[in-house]
Amino acid sequence: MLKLDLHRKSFAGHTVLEDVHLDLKQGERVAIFGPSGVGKTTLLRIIAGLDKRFVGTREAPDEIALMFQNPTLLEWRTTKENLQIFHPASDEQDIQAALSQVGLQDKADHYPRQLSVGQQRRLALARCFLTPTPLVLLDEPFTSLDQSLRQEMLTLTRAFLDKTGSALVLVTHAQDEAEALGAKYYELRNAPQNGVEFAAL
Amino acid sequence: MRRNTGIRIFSLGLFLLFWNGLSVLLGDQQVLPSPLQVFHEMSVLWQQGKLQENLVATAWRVAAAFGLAMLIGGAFGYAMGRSDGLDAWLDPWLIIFLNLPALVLIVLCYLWVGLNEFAAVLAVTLSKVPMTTTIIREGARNSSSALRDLASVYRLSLLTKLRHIVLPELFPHIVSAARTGFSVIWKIVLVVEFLGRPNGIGRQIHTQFSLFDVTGVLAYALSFVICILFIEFAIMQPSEKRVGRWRVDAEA
Repeated sequence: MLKLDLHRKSFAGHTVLEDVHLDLKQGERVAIFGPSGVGKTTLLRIIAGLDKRFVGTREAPDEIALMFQNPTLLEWRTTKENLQIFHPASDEQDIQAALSQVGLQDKADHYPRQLSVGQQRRLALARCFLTPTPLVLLDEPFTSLDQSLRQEMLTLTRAFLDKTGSALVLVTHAQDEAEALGAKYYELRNAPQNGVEFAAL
Repeated sequence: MRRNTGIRIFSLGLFLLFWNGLSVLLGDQQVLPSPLQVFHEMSVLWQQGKLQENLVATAWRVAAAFGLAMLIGGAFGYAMGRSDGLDAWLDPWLIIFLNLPALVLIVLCYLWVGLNEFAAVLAVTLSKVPMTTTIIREGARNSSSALRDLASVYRLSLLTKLRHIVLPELFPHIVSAARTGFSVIWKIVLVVEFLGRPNGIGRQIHTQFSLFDVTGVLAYALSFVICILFIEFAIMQPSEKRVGRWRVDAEA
């Protein structure tokens, strides 16, 4: 379903990623672990199709869901509109259901700035899972959260993944997140020669 | 509602009193007529239909130049803010046009294009475009790349992106460009009319000037200022407030 053969990715002559191979089956979950600056986010951007300037090949589904560390909401649109705009095919009922799932059913007409940090994160999560997609990409979405919120987000994410059956690529620097989401766990070492083989199970 | 509305109205009253006092002190209505005389002149001109006619002519030019300058400047500004390469190419041109005095542009447009409506609107538009470009470019530079990434992964349509991401993100800059644009444009329009149009407030001021009619100059000028203030309070500020609703934080 997702097949990435990345031979080299460089920025201004400096190699950031080398020989990273990923072959993901439907519903398979992997977590990519590594210290800051090792190129995790670059890798995720390549997987997402946002960065096409690399040597290698990428094969991925058209429909991908993506979530960053920051909630990245449209601050000038209401909670409900934030979901609608990114999921134009969903109807009122889908939106309400998604909002209830993350406990925001009373906040449909609030603007993001009127929500707490936790609520903003949960809204971003709802946006990520509203329409089931074959592939979900998460870029450190649980970083810099307090412990209880982190647990809550992990539980919600796990529930969403179990329901939609999406494949997952999670970028993180915390090992326990992979376990909490039932993801296989890979380490990305410093380039060059990352030498990562995300082989199929 | 603005704060201290009472003080503001009272202060406006003081200004009229001050003007009136100065006029009495000078004792020569040829030099400085009283506010009442100017208002009377305005009503006479209104009854003759001259005031409306010239206001409409000027307002049309202001609107045309304003719309064109916002569109052209907005497009250039956005493109330059997003692309460093384009910015490098166009920035020197921008600096030249930014520093070209409006008067020079007006004279050149009249000389090259002729003394017509097109030249007039073109001259005003050209003198405003660089300013709009500069302001919108600043906004485009600060736009969120994360939102763009998200829009691209979720494959939002161009129209959706424009309507829900690009324009709202640029909105504060668009407002500030519109603000400064509007106040600059109507002043330049008067000069354009002064130099080469058969009608409009600027032309009337030219006529009153040759007749040494201070009352006439003030009557036309004041009526236009009143129109501008009306647009400011009735259109600019309410629309800004309406679109800025989301800025209200949880505490408020």
